[in-house]
Amino acid sequence: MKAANEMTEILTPSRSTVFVVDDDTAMRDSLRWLLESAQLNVQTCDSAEAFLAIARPDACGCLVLDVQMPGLSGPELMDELKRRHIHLPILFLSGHGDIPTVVQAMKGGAVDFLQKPYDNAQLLERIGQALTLDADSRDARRREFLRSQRLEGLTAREREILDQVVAGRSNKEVGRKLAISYKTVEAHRGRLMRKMGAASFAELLQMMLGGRRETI
Amino acid sequence: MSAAPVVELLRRAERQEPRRPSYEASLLFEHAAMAIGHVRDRQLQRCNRRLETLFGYGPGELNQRNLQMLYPSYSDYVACGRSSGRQLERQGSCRIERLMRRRDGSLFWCQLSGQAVDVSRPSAGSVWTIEDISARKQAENALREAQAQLEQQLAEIRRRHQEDLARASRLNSMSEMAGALAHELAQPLAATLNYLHGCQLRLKQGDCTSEQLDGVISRAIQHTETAGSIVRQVHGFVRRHVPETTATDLHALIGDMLGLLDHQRRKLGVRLELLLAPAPPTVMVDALEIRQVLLNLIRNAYEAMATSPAEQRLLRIESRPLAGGRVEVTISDRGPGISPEACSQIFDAYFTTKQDGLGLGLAVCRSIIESHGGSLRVASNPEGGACFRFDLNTVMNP
Repeated sequence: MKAANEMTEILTPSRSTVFVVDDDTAMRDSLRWLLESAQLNVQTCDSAEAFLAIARPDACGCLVLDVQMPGLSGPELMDELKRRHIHLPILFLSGHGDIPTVVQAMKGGAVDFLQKPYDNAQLLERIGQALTLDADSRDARRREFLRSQRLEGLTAREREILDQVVAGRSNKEVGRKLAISYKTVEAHRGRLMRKMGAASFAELLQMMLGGRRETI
Repeated sequence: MSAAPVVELLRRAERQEPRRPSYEASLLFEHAAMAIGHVRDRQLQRCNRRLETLFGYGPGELNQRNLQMLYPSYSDYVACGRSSGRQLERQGSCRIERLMRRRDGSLFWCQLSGQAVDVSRPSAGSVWTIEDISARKQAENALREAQAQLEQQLAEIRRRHQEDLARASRLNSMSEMAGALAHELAQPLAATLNYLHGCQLRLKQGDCTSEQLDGVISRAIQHTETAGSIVRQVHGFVRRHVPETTATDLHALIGDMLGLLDHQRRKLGVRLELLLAPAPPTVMVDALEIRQVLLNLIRNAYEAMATSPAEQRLLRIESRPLAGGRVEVTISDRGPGISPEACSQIFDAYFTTKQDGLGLGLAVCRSIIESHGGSLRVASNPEGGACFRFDLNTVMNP
C-alpha cells in the first residue's frame, strides 16, 4: 500500500519546477535568469541541505545539481532523496575531475550529466528531456496506481474472467473453462470493463500489459 | 731596493774622509740602476743621473734645487715634507707612495724611500731612492676595477638567479593550479553566458523590460570583469617580470589571492577568518612578488588542511600594525603543523614535504620578504597547525 502523500502526488500533479542546487551565487542567479527566460518555473537552493528542507515527495520537475558542494555533495543528496521517495530526475553539472563520482551516481538511478563548460542549448535540451522523463514516470506511476486500485475493486469472479480474457480466450472458451454460461461471462466482462475504466477490449489489453498513457 | 747601503757608504766615507765620498761610493751612486738623491733642508744636494732622467732633467739641472719642483703642487710638497720629516725623526726611515711631477708637467706614481744619514743629527739630511711605480699602480687600479666589475656581475648573477627561482616557482604554482584556475575562470564565464542567452531568449519573445535587461547586463559585465582580472593575474604570474616598487594596498593583494584560490578553498570546504587592521596598510613593494608570497602561503595552508576533519578547516589571515610603521601579516592554518626538524629546513631551497613539490616556494618567499627588508618566520599555531608570519614597512600617512 502506498503512502498517503504519494497518493496525493499522483492524483494532483503540481506545476513542473526546475530545482537548481549550486553553492555559487553567480551560477544560481544566472541559471535562474536563463531558465526563466526559457519560460521554466525555477527554484534555487544554495546547498543540498537547503533543498532537502523544501523538497516534497509531490515535487515535480527536475533537479539541476552541482557535483561539488561543501556539506552534502550532489551524489549524497541523490541517495537521501531516494530514501525519502522523491523521484525527481537529476541532471548533474560536473566540473573537471568529477567524472568518477558522476559515473558512480549514474549507476544509482535516473540521472544525466553535463560536463562544464556546457552549451546552454544543450543544458536547456537536457532539462527538457528530464522534465519529459519526470512527466512520463509520473504518468506511469499514476497509471500503475489507478490500475492496482481498480483491480482491487474487482470481485474474485471478475478478476478470474479478466485474466482469462487477457490471456486471449474468447467469451465462449472462458464460459466453458469456468463452467458458466456465455451470457454470464459477457455480463461480467461488461462490468469489469466499466470498473477498470476501459472503453474497448484493446484498451483493457494495453492497460494490463503496460500500454501508452493516451489510453487512460 | 733600499737606500741603506748608500747611506752606509756615505757614512763610512764621512768617517774616513769627512765631506768627500770615496771614489767607489761615487761610482756606485752615479751608476746605480735606481734614482738616488741626497736631500738636506728640502733641497737636493746631489742626485744621480738616473734621478734626473726619471724627472726629465738634464745633467746637473737639479743640483741644489728645492724639492718643490718635483711635486704636483705646493700643498703636496708641504704635506709630504711634514709627514716624511716626522717619520725620519722617529724611525730614521720612511716609505711613501705619491704622484710626482716631471719637468714637462706630466704626473707619475713614485715610491720614495728615505733614510736619515744620521738620526741624531737631522742637519746631515737624508738619502732618497725613487722608483717609478706607475706600471704597478696601473695594474693595481685595473685589478681593483676588474674586481669591482666581477663583484657587480656576481651580484647581477645572484639577482638574476633569485629572479629565475622566483619565476620557476611562479610557473610551478600556475601549472599546479591550472585545473583550479580553469574552473575559477569557467564560473564567471558560464554565468555571463547564462545571462546573455537569457537576454537573447527574452528579446526574441519580446517579454522583458529595459530595466530588467539593464540589471542583468550589468551583472554579466561584472562577471566578465572578474574573468578578465583572473586572466591578468595569471598573465602577471607567468610572464617575465621586471621588478618595480610601487605604493600598494596590502589588503587588496590579500583579497586578490583569496579570489584566485577561491575554487580550491570551496572544494576543501575551508572557512575563512579575516582579522585585518582597520586602516588598510600601504606598503612600498613589488606587488607581484608579494602576491607570490601570499599565494604560496595561502595555498600551503589549504593543502595542509586537506586531511584535517572538515569542521576544523579554518584559515585565518591577520594583519596588524607594529611599532615603527611596520605591518605584520599572519597566515594560520589548522593542518597537522610542522615538525621541529622540518621547521629548521623549511625555508631551504629544494626542501619539500610534498610528493611532487619543487621545494622552491618557501625559499623564494623568504628571499622576497628579505629583499623587502622584512622577515618571514614559521611558528606553531596555538590552536593546532602552523602559522607563517611576515612583516613589511608601510608608507607612513603624511
